[in-house]
Amino acid sequence: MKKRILSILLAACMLASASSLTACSSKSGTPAASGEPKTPASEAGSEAAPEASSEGASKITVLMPKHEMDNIGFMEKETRGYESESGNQVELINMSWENVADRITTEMAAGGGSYDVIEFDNSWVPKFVTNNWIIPLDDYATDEMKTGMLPGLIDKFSYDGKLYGITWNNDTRFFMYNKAKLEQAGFSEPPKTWEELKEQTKVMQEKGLTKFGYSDSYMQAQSCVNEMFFVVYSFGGDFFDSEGNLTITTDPGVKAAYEFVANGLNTDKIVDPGSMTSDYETVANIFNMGDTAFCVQAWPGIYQSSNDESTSKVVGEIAVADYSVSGDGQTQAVLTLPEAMAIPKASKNYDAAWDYIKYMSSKEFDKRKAEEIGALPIWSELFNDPDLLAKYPHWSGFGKQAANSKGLPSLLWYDEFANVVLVESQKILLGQVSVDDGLKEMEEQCKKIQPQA
Amino acid sequence: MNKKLKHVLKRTGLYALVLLIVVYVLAPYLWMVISSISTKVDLMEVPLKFIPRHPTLQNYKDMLLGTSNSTTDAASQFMHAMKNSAIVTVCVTAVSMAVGILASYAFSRFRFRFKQQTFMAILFTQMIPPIAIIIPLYMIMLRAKLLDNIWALTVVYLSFVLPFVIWIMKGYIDGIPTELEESAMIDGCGRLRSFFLIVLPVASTGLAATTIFAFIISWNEFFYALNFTSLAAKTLPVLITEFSSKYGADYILTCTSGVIASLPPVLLALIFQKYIIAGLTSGAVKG
Amino acid sequence: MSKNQGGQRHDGRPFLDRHLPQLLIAPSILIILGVLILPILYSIYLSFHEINFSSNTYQLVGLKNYIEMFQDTYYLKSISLTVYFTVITVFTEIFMGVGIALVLNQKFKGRGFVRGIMILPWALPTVVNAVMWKWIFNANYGVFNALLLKLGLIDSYQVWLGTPLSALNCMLFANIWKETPYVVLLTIAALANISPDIYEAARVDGSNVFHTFRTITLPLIKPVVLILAITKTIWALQTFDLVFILTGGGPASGTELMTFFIHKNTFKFLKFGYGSAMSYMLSMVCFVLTFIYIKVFASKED
Repeated sequence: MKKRILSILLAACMLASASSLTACSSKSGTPAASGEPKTPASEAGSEAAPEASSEGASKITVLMPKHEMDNIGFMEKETRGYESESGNQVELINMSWENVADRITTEMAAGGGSYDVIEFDNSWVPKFVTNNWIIPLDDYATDEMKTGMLPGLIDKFSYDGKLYGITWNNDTRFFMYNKAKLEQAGFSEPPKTWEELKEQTKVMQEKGLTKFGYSDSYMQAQSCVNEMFFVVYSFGGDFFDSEGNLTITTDPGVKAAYEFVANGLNTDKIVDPGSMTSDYETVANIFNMGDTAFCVQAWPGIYQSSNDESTSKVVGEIAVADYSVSGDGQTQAVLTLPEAMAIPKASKNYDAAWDYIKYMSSKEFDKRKAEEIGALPIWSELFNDPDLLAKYPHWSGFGKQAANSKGLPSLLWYDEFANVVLVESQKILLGQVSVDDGLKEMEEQCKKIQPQA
Repeated sequence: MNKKLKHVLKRTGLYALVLLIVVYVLAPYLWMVISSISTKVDLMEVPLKFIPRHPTLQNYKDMLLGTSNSTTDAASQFMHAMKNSAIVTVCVTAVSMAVGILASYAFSRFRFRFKQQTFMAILFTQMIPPIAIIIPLYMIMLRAKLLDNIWALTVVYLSFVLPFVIWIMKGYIDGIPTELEESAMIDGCGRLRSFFLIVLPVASTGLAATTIFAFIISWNEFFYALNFTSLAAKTLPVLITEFSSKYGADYILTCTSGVIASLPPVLLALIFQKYIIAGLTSGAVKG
Repeated sequence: MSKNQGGQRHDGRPFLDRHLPQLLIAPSILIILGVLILPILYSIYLSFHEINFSSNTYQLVGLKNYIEMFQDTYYLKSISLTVYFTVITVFTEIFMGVGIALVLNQKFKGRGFVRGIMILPWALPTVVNAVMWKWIFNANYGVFNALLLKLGLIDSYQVWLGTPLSALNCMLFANIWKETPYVVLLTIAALANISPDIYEAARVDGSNVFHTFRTITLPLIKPVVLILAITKTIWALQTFDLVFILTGGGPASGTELMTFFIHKNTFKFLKFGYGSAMSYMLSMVCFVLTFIYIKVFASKED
């Protein structure tokens, strides 16, 4: 008796929840007894529900993180401007970067078509392209775009010869320093090499001008990987050779980079030990409070916040160098971590999506963005734009450093690779293991997960 | 004489303990309040000034009035998100209490087949990390067009609030001697009537505590809300994460929003104190 | 005792009466299963598969995901960290929480207010709690450093989140601070039903405080404490936001709790099958712990 009731209950609730998801339930309900590969729900799902939007052809949904320099609602305002100009309707969803990343992964894995334009980070390129989550934009992008935008940005979002994303956030890092402190310590020029940086720091520390030379974000997060890549690049090293083989233990630049940072933290005491727990925001705060003299990988926004009295004690003291610090004084490398807009394959409205992307990457838009929030342009010629240079004289330094910008490696297994680099780097920086042992372990762990070619 | 001294000592000791507890609870919170009314430069003073030199209520104003020009555009959505959170939380609390009490009564007072198994199964659903079921749940909501819908979110919340309500309320009902209802039933009361008239009032303190519990866990839920809402149904905890960029969290704005977000549950708790105290004086039973 | 009516007298009573308990639990079961049954079945199915997004296929891999996790050094480390975190938070929170509840159960001026503000930490959204503690523990400007320096307990600012063990303990503290009020709230409610007369009688009998607690208070609040222990264990094992924001699992993976690890494998590495398998392993651990709690509590009853 009770059994029957129980089974009725169970059936009822199954029915209740399953009414609208037959596609899903039939799939998840069939056990793959044979071991034969099955079509996952994602594909069936995207095909199963293409209705219900033909009439709303001009309504698109955009999922993007906030631009870190946008404190005035600029993107929102521009989106509304686009709406009135084009007649299309745009639902703009802003979330923090981490949340957007999770959200997009869930959406893509579930095979949904909720978004028409999505955030596309530089580290996702091979993964998203290989998984067929986004569409190539070559047919849409004009020649003017392909030739007029910074070549590095076009390259970064191309894969196997096709273009997949149009940059909206040119996040490139620069070497900034506290000119006033350097002058008080008797230095007229910022350091060219890491060795010089150490010497200058020691002098400033002795004179009580700063607590540390620099602070950086070495906490367990993507930022630590970014920053270690930068230091390695600046020592002329790399984690891979041109054929894609791991060179972690063989490249002298890698070793030199790790030795410099580990010593800087633990023995030379020129690097803020708090770096092991700091996010980028904290790094900027320390620099703006005058507790460090250098910001080795500063983003343009730091220049603005350093000149704002509510956030800074070093108003007017910060300058941008014409070069970046390096191992030998010759090699030049700054890091670029751009973010782009892409169109998911499951979107039902490619054309309207592209229309929005076109607007949000046009030269006029790019200039307004630079003027209003100080974001770096994505169009090459805007770096020489007289209006912008008049407003931001320090950009000439950016221009010179940006000539040597370099990104993270494009790997299909990037996330797992970065995880190993991250954890093993931290062991080295904490002094838990020697540089040699740590790098050896890093390479071994990487080899374990590297896909066989 | 000696007795009186002992009494005074006891009282002093008690107040000292209470003071210690209050300081322990309030100190970090107070720092959050101070942070929310300070400027960045003042906060990063070394040595630190514990009292801000330029206190300002600007952050609160911007957040509550939605004057977004001086802050992020997330701030202008604050009231909207607060409203969503309030609707979802109140509905989840009301439904989970109403439905959960019935179930916990059944589990506490009846004997029926598969009782233990059902009871454990209910809890087992909560031992599965949400991370494991988020993708299939998202697929279902996507196909049913239920994403970004506060009612759908309410139902999802019920699925994790309800099991805990059932378990906790069963604990309280178990603590009430069955003799109470039995005597009522002898007096001619029906089973359910005796439960509502006799047991529930005695359990009012537990009821109040469980209500606060249900309120707080749905008020603060983050992971489901993050994945299932985007604009129309966005809740407060999700919105608060938007005071972070990829460079890190804005401590000051996060603290401001945290202070505001923590007030509704506390007000509720203060109101419910009345019931807990009422329960103490009226419903006390002899164990 | 008297818990025997329900399902035994079949005849002569209307359907409603005969199936009262089933009808009482039906709405709850309907809601819980309605939402969760399909996702749970699906994720169990997934845990025996590997998804290949590029070719859009599910590959049946049997127990591979379940076996693989025990060969994953990062995972094994995260298990031990999670166990440490769970054991310490659950015990501390319950002991402290019951202790605080006993104090707040005494009569004193402003009791209602103190009980009300006790909720504050727990009422904070987890995200805010994590950001707040990160700010408090900040190596360069944190108030924790400032306070200890002022009290003369340290002579220079320390990097509290800078070494694995210290970071883990900071995380423990942040969690204990936030979640203890939950224990306090529910324990106070349980204590409220104990009549003062009983204590009075015990005092007249001359039993001391601890004896009273053990013989009178504890048995009465035991059902609630058991539930507190179980729910606390479930949540401690699933701690995610705190790790995500406070430490990112670092330094050197020293605070990488299991749920964080699962999240990374699922959302970053796209190993959905592996993530599901690890999730079910976590649920099993939780289930076994719950079972042990119940056995221990039940045996004490005799």
